[in-house]
Amino acid sequence: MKALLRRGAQHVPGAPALEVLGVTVRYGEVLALDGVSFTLQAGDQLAVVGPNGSGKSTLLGVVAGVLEPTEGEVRIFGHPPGQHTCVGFVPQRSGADLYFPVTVADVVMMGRALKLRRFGWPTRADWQAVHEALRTVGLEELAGRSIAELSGGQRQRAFIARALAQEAKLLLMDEPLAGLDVAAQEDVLASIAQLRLQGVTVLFTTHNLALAAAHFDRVLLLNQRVIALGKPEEVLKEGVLLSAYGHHARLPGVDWRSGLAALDDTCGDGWEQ
Amino acid sequence: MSQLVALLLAPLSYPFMVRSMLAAIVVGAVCAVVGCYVVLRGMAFLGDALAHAILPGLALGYILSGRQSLFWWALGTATCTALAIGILRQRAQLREDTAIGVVFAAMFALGIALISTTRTYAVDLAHILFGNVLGITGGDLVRIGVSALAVLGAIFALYRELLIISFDRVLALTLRLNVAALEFVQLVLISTTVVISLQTVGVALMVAMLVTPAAAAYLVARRLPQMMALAAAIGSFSGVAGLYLSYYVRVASGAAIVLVCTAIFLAAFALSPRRRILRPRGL
Repeated sequence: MKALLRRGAQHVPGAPALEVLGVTVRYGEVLALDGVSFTLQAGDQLAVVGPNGSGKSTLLGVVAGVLEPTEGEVRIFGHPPGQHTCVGFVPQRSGADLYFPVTVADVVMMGRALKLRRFGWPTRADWQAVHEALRTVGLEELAGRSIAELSGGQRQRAFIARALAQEAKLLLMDEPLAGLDVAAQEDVLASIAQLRLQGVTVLFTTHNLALAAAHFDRVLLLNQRVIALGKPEEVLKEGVLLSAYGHHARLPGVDWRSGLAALDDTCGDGWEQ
Repeated sequence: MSQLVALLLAPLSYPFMVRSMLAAIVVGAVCAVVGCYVVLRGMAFLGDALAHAILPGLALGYILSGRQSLFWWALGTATCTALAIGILRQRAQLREDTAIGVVFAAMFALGIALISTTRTYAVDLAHILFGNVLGITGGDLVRIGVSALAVLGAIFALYRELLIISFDRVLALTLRLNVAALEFVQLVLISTTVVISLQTVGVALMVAMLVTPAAAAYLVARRLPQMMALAAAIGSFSGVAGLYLSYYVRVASGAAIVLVCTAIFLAAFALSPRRRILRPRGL
């Protein structure tokens, strides 16, 4: 019975939350990632931006341990990704069956699966942890709703709450803002900001450069390889963006912040070819 | 009132009817609970295929060892088929439904070929295809009861793991659950259920016992434990009501059970408070 439930590795003291060391991924002839390296310390929040097909989802898959890199390695608190249970992963196309008969609280409780005793029903403390997580993302009132009844943004926040209940130390989110309106995007970003207070390291991909600039201390511009990594004002400059997005990137204005804001209306589709 | 009681009690004066009723209650409940996974994971075709694929095992067991150990032959065949389909699903380049179609038709044909070599071909095949709940012996009943307890016990013990792999495989992977092993356990549970239910409704109607009560419960329930409990109640009730129907209207018992079940499904469909209107067309 134990083989069905593996325990996570102990963290190496002092090790960075995430080390990506020369990661290359090939799908046959196609080079998806080319020697990508960067390090995140515990509590860092990094937004990964880049054009479609730049390898953002592949990068998250490798970090989550769902994809094997062709070359290079990933270390999470000093260990390979496959040995952890402290990694929360919300993929772009969620693997979750959204018509499953579960409530929002049930979904968040799944994050605590490893903490519950076998045959034991969730204790009062477990339910408190679930409600605490839901309160953090502002969904406490919807705890009893069916997951199918949530809007897209509420659902993303439920998955963030699940990572909180899981006590994830590293949260990977692949385009959690896709398809959300501005208000819902702000709600999701506010929930991610709450994670910072709890010391959770976040790796987050998005097409929305303006929001990445406004909400993250560090931005990684990816196009198979690392084009730029640093503060938003260093990375999201016209010259740097052009080298990633090519001639499709029409950048009006010189000030990166206003320029990006002007682009924001089109960036969901406009950046795509 | 007393007339109704008399009508309900009359069939129970026959010991074979009491055994059939007990078997129908247990089988109806187990099929329905396991069927919740079948419905939620979209495995109805797989369930149907497993039921049909048992046939060669039954035929071989019958030819080699007579009626005594058919249960074990069937269980062995179903488990092997589940394993084969699982391997095809993970390794082959074929779509899953194509792989299932190929395996199940071949196994069924093999079964018919084997049975046609025996002398009592027509009678035996009819019993296997359509069930013979009225012929259940005390020994059968014990076997059904023990297997049912084992299946329900496993579902209870692995409730959270099976819930997570059914709801969200990616979460299962990040929590480092052993997804392949758990999916195999799920297939074995379905196989065992199919085998213990064989005598009540037979191969041809098996999928209805797995799918219909769970589908009816899905239309009404908000949470998985609710859905399982409701499905079990519908399955057991259909079993009993179907047997009464079969007794008084003189129709085949397996067919009667399935028809009652379908009637309950239609009622749930008509009365469902939220007929899953949120689900877009085609999903």
